[in-house]
Amino acid sequence: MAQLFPPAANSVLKWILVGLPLGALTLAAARIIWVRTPWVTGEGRTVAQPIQFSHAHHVGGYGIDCRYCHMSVERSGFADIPPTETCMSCHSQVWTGAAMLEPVRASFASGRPLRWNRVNQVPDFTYFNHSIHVAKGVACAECHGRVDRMPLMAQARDLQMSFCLECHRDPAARLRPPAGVFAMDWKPAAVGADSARRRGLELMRFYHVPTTGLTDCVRCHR
Amino acid sequence: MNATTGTGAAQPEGPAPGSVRREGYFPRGAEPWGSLEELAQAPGMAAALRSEYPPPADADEGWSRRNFLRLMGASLALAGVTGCGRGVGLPRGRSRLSPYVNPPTGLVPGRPRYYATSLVAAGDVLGVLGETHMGRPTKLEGNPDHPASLGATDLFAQAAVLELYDPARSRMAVAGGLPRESAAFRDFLLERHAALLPRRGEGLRILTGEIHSPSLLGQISGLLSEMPAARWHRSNPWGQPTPGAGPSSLSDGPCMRSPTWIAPTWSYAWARTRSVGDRGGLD
Repeated sequence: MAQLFPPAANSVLKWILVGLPLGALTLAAARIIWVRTPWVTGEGRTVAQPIQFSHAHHVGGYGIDCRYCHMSVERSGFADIPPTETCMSCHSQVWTGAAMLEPVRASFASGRPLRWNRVNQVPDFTYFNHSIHVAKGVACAECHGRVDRMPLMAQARDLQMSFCLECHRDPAARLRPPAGVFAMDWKPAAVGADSARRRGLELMRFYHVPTTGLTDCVRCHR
Repeated sequence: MNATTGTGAAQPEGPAPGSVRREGYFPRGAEPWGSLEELAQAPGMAAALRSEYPPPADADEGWSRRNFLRLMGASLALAGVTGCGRGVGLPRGRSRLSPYVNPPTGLVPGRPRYYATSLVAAGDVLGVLGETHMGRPTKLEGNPDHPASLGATDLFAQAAVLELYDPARSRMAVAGGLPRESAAFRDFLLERHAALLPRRGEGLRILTGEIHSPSLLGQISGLLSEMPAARWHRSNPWGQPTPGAGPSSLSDGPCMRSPTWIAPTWSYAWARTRSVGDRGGLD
């Protein structure tokens, strides 16, 4: 009776035994890496808008404060984007005939709201409140990046959970004094690593930032 | 409370598509029906039902049952894909933000606003505070400053906010089952007013819910004194108003000039238990 398996069967079996778990691991790893790529997280992605609003021009060029347009950021969880009225408070006087601003004028005349494309967004299962972060010394630029250098708004950070946790585990390294919260170009005074650390801990005491419980699940997943 | 104003002459002839659920089914001159079985056998009912709830069999032309199930299965599978997005059911960058054009004064986006308002139920008025989020009412709680509430509500007040999201809620002027512009409604009112005035309102019937608004009561009172032959019916699902309930000043005033109260009489003689899936005589 002929042999059922050729001599190569032993090698094939060994390759299969090794290859199957390796393949499974590779697939799992690929998936884990894939969801962290900017392609999926949106980090660094610029979003097209109905109007080419330039933060670089308004913030970087004219030095308009964030709160002039994002009025509710200190009082509400939602920073909001400005109503058409806010745009028109200047653009009824300057650039009144600019073709680029036609949608703004049309919105103001017709009462129909502008529809902007959202750039930064945390998932619905995550609670995020702007006002508490701003009140405790977390600067706008910490999450939104150097908006004053963005001709069109781009997502500066990956906004993954690890990004939030990085700061929630050690707020001292990130906090700024009140004068630096809405500043784009704020830099800590050049001091040694030790005194930078001490300054951060001082700021935590100044803002009454709790030293425990900041990484509890329920902080963000309510 | 919805106030529906109309005249007898303006009743549509027969049921318009979609009218069964909203207006009930009262062909002119037909015998009133006493049970659902009689209603189901009324002329035109089958056609009206078919236009209201098209049976799946009608949508089947060129579509096999198998294809339909296949598509439904695919939709179901794809519905799970939204879980991979940002939790908003839209792919990244497709979510929109629409700010106000002129925001209401004092509004802080993302924070609720509270309005003091009142609910009318069973001849009583309850003062409540309504919570709204950028114009959308979400919750009613008692008004601590209102003597009837003192900050508390009841079951009906808690459920009342859902009424605003009732798909059957009347949102616009409707004539013959079709929505009309409010300008068309005004023209219609003016035209009917001119026609009815020489007849002292003969043939005019006004059907309203329970009304406790002094302004609306005053307007109806004014209309009725102008057209003494008109009749005013008030529907009260809670039954006859209890004497003494509600503000007595309204009951004594001229506003209450002989309204006809309509109250439902619940008869359980026709009720029967049935299993889910048995569609009774309406098929």
